[in-house]
Amino acid sequence: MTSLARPGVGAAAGAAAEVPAGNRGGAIAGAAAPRSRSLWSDAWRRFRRHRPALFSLVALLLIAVGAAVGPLLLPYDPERIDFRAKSEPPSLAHPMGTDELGRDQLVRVLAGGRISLAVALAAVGVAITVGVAVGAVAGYAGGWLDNALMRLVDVFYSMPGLFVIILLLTLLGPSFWTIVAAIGVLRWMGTARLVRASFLSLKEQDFVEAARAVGVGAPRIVVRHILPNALSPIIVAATLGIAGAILTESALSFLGVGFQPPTATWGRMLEEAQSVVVSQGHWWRGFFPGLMIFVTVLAVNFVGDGLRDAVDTRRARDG
Amino acid sequence: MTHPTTPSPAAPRHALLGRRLDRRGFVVGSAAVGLAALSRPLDAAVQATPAAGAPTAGGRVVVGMIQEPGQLNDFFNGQSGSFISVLAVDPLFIPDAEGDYLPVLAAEVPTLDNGGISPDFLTITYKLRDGVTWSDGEPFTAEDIKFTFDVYQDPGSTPSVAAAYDAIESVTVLDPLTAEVKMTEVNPGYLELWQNVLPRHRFDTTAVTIEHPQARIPLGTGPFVIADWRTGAEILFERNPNYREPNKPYLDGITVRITPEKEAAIASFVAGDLDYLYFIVTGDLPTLTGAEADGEGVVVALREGGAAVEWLWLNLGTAGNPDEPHPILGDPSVREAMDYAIDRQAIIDEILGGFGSLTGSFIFAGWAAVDLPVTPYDPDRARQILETAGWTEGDGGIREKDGVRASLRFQTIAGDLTRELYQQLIQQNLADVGIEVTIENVPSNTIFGSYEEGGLLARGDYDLVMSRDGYDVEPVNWVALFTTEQIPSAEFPGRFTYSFYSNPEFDRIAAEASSTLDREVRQELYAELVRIFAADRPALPLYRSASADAWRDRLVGIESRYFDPRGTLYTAENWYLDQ
Amino acid sequence: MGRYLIRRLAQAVPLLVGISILVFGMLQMTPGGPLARGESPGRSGRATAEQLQRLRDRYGLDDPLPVQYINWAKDLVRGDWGTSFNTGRPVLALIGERLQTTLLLTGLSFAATLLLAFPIGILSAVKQHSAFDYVATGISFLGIAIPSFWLALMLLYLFAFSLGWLPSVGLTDARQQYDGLAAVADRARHLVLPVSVLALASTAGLTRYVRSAMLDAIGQDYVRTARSKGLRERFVVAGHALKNAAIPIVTVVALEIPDLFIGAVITESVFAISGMGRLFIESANLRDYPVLMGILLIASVLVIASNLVADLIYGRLDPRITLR
Repeated sequence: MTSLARPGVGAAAGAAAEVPAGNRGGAIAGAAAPRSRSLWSDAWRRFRRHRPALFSLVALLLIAVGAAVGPLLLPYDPERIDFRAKSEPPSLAHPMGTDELGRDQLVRVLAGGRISLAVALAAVGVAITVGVAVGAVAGYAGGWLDNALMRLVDVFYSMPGLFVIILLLTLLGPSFWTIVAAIGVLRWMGTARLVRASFLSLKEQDFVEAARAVGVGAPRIVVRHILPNALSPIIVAATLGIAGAILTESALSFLGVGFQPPTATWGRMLEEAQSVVVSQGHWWRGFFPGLMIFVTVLAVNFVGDGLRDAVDTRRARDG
Repeated sequence: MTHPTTPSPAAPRHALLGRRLDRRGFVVGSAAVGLAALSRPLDAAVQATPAAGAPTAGGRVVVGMIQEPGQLNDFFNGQSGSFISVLAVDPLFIPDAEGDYLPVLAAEVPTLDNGGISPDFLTITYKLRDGVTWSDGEPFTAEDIKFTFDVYQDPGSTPSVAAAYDAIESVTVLDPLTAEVKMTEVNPGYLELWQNVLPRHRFDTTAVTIEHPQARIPLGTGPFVIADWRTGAEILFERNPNYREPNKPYLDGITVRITPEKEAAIASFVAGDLDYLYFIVTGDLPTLTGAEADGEGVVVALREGGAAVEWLWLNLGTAGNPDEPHPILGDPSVREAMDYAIDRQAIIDEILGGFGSLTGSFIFAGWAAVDLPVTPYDPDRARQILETAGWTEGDGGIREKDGVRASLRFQTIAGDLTRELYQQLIQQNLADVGIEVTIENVPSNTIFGSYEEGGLLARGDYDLVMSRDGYDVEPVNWVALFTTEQIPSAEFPGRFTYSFYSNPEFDRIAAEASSTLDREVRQELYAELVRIFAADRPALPLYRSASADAWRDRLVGIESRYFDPRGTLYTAENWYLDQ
Repeated sequence: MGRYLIRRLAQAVPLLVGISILVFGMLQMTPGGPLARGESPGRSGRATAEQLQRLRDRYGLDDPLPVQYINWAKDLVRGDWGTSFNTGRPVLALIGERLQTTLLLTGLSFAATLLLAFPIGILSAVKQHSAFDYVATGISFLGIAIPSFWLALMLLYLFAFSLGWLPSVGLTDARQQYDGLAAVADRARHLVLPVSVLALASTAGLTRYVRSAMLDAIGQDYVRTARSKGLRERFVVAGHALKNAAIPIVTVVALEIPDLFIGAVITESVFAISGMGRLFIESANLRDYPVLMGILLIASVLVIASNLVADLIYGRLDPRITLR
């Protein structure tokens, strides 16, 4: 289950992987020069050279646009039951077939994409917000606060994440925000460590020292001077985090602690499909929603890879 | 999609089956081939199974089990799933297909005529069958009956059995084969007692908890002995060498295979890995009858008109207070409109593959059954009722009255996918008449938790809950579920009128019906209750489950002459393998 | 090092206490509880109020929460993990039975992961930009992204439903009683799909990691000088590089174990295997909290231990790091 809610090797393989007590993030961020127009246009130039990443970005945009406008264009309602079209295999009218309530699978996959993507984005948003806040405070303040916060990171790292999420959702009942919170709350620690490491190396640098010397306050230094320079590893981690969050959401739905009917999400559709695929051979029920997860996660990973190569000047030199 | 003609539940079985097949033929169209072979009714299956020639001895049979119980001894097991223990443990009585009790370990069924019931109904004399031994060879006697009650009474014990035990005052052993039981009040459940008698010689105290080895693996008098139970894997039943019928059982043993996913168990049965399934409910039938029609060597014995009905429970109170009517469901018109709004026939035809039947009566099974047609599907009428009652359309087509939106929570046990299918249909049906429902499914123990545990039903913390419920033969406890006396509260947390329904007339008749053991009197009173219930609608019946057993055709001798879903298992002594 | 170890272990204790209090409180304060008796309160099998009260007394469920927690913790310290509400059996025995299954599943998957990921990753790195490298990298990219439950479902459709080659559920054949080699073969037939699914994702992740760690090591200056001398030398060099690459790799491998273990919950669900993951989900639904607490405790200990082991190895192998 490498790809599930894991901090280590999985989706974040490579530079963003957290080696305990390690400082890879710091190394990356330390190499990044102060923010400038040329840095970002350089990054974009490098990103464009990464063919799979560029291709994936286009694919992701297509999926997002499809999810956003697809349900409006198709002649079907993702939730309206129509027994005349029950359990039909793929056809021209229903390219992904229908389910046992006669609902068009294509429109459900697209509508489900909205929710799956929204959950992933929101969960990563939560994770990044918490992670940046904790990491920034720890890295900038140092001392006992740093120590305490890093112990907190350890606590969260020591929790058997999937078990805790399952239990939380079983007890509290699933809803959009409980699912987002459950996923987000167990994914912020990597970001916190990255940000802290960046801060540790950045706060001693000349331009920060200079700002401090002319009497700029701590919050302002953090927000205006340090954070922008720590941004690139955060962006990479966030991108890769989206892949993990999509997988986690679909796994939870698949285990029956995700969204409630009649809401379609990719994982929920897979759960509904489980028995008919194996006992009645309705392969289309499981194939398409899973394919969407697969393609989306793959694309997000490529984009994340491309981004990392683009912003990581050290790697770019070596490569 | 209206279904104006809905046959009454009391229609003869062949008529019901015929209707089902017609409808199925209609729905499936040309797939009517092989319909004759589809799931024959039980009586036909019974006639079909005894093969020519004498039964052959030996061999093992593999039975699929879906839900592993906590304990196999039903005397201590609160969760369902210990059905399978009937292979090893005999009851004193079993109801037959019509709901009349037959003696098993008893010599006869106590009646007023044979003196088994005293004229004041308060003393029941149980006569035991002679020559019965426990599977370890010890004799089975009235002392075991008395001991079972002693265990029930001991405050240090943790039984989990029929409420009928509560009404026992004392048990006296008259002779080794006769036990006299005095009741504190008329006890209509007297034949539901002694389903699991405890072997006295296996205990050294009457304080017996669920941790006792006999709670996990009971000793019985049945054709098989529970030899081993490997949790999560299998339960091994071996032939009982001391069984009261010399050459029986024919089989050497039965392996109960635990397959935690139901769909997986059914798939594995169809593939030939299992010989017998006994846990089949309505939603699983299409797959199995499909396999039967495809000539997979599978026999499906259907039991229409089962002992359970799928209910929509309506909360009539507010947060557990019966005196403060529910803002929406407290209005009888809303309940009536909902009754008309739900397309029950579509549930059966489109989602349950044509299996299941309809009833409008809350007393639907056994000798007490009352015939009442179900409310027809008529959304226009539902809308009209709501309109007349002052529920007018507001935002997004959702009706409102006095600032209250007709918006309800709808809960059932999470993870039951077939159920979630018709739950969505009901949601759409209700939306079509302007009632919005939001599905919020949760685990079983959240809904059915006790009052102290904050269970949603017990606390009245719900709007609509869907669950399968009913009674086997004796309706007294089932009826009590709708009486004012049983409304739970902080003071009386163990009560169970979860609809918070209160009607003094209903209470009075229910009390009268449980104060006598005279069936005719009770039947009339129950008919009265059914009418009151149908008018007040504290709960809406959705459909009556069909259940079934299925087995591979190499297994013969299976009969289903008994009422409850475990009926066929009681005949395991007669099973053998067709070589 | 010794002091470091003691300090880390001392940190683990409050951690476990914290987790257990959190879970205990959550279990008790949300609606529902362990004594619910199935979905049909109307059926005659319903336990009476008095019967339920006896169970409440027996398990001390009416005690104040802190008292219940302390009682539980006291017993735990004495080695008594409590009794399952659902089965009346000792929690430790219950978990032990299921643990065997899960360990078999994860153990085989772990072994498969190691046996595949190292050779592929190393070869990929040594022959960077070769066809093999592209294929291996491509497949591992796909392996990371593929949702395991989807893969499992599609494999079941293909091999169990359509082709009928492999069984769809369980760990042994229900009907046959095999001995010796035949029993092993039967097990293998049942395990091949679940183990493949469980191993694929972790193999893919680890392969990528081994490759990149090797590339890092190979890319270092002293190695780079030897690099141009031809393929054979590159293998020699790879030997040195592997020694350097080993540090991050081994730590990642250590972190892999709890993930495999916890991830088995999904595999067990798809393949209807009664392992610990399923026991956890069943117990969560039944609110069997002594069992839940037990499983969470074991899983937490596993996570903590593997983190600790990873850090220790990291410190031992890399002299630049000092553990304080």
